[in-house]
Amino acid sequence: MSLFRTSVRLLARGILTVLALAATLLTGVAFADEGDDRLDLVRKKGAIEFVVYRDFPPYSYQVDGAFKGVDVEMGEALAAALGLKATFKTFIPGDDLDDDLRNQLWRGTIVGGSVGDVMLHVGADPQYVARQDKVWIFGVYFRETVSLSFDPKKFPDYSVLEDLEGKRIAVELGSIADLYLTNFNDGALRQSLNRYPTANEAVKAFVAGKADATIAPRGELQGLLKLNGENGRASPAQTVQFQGLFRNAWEIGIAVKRDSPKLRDALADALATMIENGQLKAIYARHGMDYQTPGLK
Amino acid sequence: MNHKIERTSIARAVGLIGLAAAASALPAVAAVPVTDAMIANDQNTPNDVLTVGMGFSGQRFSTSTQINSDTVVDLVPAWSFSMGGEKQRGQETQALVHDGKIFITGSYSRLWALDQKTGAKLWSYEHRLPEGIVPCCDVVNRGAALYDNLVIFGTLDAKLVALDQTTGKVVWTETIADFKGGYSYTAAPLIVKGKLITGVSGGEFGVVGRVEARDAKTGKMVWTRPTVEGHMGYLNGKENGVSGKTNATWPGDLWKTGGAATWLGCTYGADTNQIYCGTGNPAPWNAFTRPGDNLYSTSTVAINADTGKIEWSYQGTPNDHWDFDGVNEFISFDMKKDGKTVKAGAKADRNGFFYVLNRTDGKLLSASPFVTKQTWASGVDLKTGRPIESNNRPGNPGSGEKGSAVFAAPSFLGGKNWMPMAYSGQTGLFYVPANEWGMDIWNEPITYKKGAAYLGAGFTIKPLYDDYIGALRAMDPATGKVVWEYKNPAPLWGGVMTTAGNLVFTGTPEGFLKAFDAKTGKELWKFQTGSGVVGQPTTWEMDGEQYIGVASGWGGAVPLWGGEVAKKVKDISQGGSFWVFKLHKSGKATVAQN
Repeated sequence: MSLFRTSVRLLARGILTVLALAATLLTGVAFADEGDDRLDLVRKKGAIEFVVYRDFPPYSYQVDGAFKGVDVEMGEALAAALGLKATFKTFIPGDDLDDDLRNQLWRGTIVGGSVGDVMLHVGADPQYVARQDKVWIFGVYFRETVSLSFDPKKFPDYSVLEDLEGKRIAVELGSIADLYLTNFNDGALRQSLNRYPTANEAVKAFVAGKADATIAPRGELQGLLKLNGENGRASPAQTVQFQGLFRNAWEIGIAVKRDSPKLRDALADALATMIENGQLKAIYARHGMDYQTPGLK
Repeated sequence: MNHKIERTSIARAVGLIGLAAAASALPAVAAVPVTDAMIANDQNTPNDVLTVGMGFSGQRFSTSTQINSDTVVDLVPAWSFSMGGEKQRGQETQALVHDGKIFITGSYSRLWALDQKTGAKLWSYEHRLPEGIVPCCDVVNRGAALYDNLVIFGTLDAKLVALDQTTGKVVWTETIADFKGGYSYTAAPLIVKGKLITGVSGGEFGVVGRVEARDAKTGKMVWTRPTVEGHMGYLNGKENGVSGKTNATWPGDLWKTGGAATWLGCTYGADTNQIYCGTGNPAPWNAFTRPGDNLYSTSTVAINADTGKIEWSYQGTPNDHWDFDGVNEFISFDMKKDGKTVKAGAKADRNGFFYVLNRTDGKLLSASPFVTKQTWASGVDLKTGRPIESNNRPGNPGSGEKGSAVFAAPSFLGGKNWMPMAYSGQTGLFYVPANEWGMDIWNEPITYKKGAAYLGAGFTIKPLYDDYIGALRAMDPATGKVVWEYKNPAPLWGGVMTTAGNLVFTGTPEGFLKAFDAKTGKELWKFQTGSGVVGQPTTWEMDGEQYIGVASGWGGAVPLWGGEVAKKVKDISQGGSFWVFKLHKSGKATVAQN
């Protein structure tokens, strides 16, 4: 099928606008009795629904039906700050974030159709944020940086990507690391890459000794190493530098639908407090992750 | 066309047996079983339509002549059926007609059996779709297959469902793939010698195209054939050789996830015993990461129906970088050229070339543009079969330059998309539903997947002309020349049918079903169905009268991805109905009585 479909949808501004208008009209009617802002709605319900990625450790995943992970704990803390109960809904990611925002926050999926109140773990590049007209992306709270962990026995000396030649490198299929390294230096590392369906599978393979190094966003990498019982063999996470159009670092924020500025403000306040008082840092630390302040390079 | 003549007498005999059985079994419960012989002769039996494509080869040609270029002015509605509910999305089905029933599929994985005489609903099946499925394009379905007492179709959650034709009860279901991995199914299955042939439709990553053959009566797998080199095929549960040669045209382990989804299904060549399937684009999208031809992506693959092995392949877009998803149907026909008859097959590719191949060995005979603009290649080398590229690839995102946009035509939606063309042995012409559009394409650095930045592709679709996008073109396969064309303001997205009555039928997003003179392209008739027509017209005869049926209901990929094009289609009403037409008879009621 089309690999390009999402980006196209993203750029099909005309139809997005049409859909958005329809959505606005619908919600306008549906919410007329409930108040115009989802903050009022969630206050009435006493609960706020967070949409989180399915099977996405260490951020959001389920064990025997129970929700776990950094994003889950963060959601619970945000809900508590608003005096609400947190509920969670997981979803299968679309081809890219535009799909997720549309399906989970402002329009709903084609089948099922219900939307959540808040989405966590949302990419927050300023240009990307600026081109949204259906959702608010705000509360930038974390910075991810593509990082590498290696087996020091196999890597006496890692400093540049060329050092990876001839090694076995586990990456998530289709991740930015996969795309960059596949392309790197006219394909010098193509034979070295071992691709796995998820970052968790890649890190598992590394921990099991099936790979000499693994590359993933730092938070994900650290959390997954801990989750998979890494025993101290792996090197600390090291930043991987990219060139060209590839980004090796980005900010993460949260998102709500455009019709709910009050909910946005309430969540932004609660989040700022959590960052200030160290609560967020503590959540990350419990999962073996260094909390990276947004904006720091 | 010797083989066809040989089969005609058998077809008649089988047809007669079928009718006799239908008449005697009228009050009984059991349906007249659909046999392999009946399917093999579908194109020659005007009283039924047993296959999507109106025959094994998918020519969409009917021998019926009652409705013809003289009488078509009197074509009027006989009845219309509303699919009902709120699920009004693109209706891309083709009707099947058998044993007094008409079977149509609809958006959201629904299927109906209608009374052939009255249009009354006999039963309906609504597949329970899991919440949160994210089908890539629209929630369409392109038709069912008939075999024995079963009507079988694929669903958006990538399952196959076989229903009893009489009762609508589920007889068996099988899972093609896990919908959680982004798989779905929208194509019509193909029946070949008791086997149900399907492909796969999948999401962006981790998909490997394959063709599967199941026992149509039970759903049990017979063989599976991957369409990416390096992957093992299976026959009756045993290893049956890898497709191609591992790493011959793919670097590293990229072949493990190479794409090449077979999402539009297949046709069959009865005389070659080959199943012809088109394959999609390779993954990942950025061609710089996968130097090589990346077989068997963007190809036509010929698979032996019994052994499940690839006998030949022809690739339209080696190392594709434009999303020229080469899934289009390959239609077998006998081409008369220079006094000889050639066993040929033709495909109008997304990439804008109309390919004619020798269907026995896949050798390229000709490649002619069926669109007015192709920026990516100036032609095809007939000796090597390879395109002559014109330096139209997007920039390498790893080279440090800011990726600038490249204008490419056709657009990734294709010179022709999914909608099937038709071939008339009478005129010797193919009728190709083409679209004239291009795209700006660039590397898009600011997008995210599961909260992580990645590098996508950005696109803007642009119409090439102010006054039209769609163009129905009659192509002479022997010369590669366009004989006539009909221009349509909105993009064409529906199937084409042609008949021995010197007619060509197709629908438009503007809501019309139209009939054209097959020889000249003159528009002879049109009818406004109330919503956009993206379905596949078909025809059958009953009680001495010829009927035309088509689904109406706007949708498909155009409104989702159209960009600038969306402006041309934004005012089209949604719908969901099936229209049936026949010739007006003076003094008689033309509206069926229930």
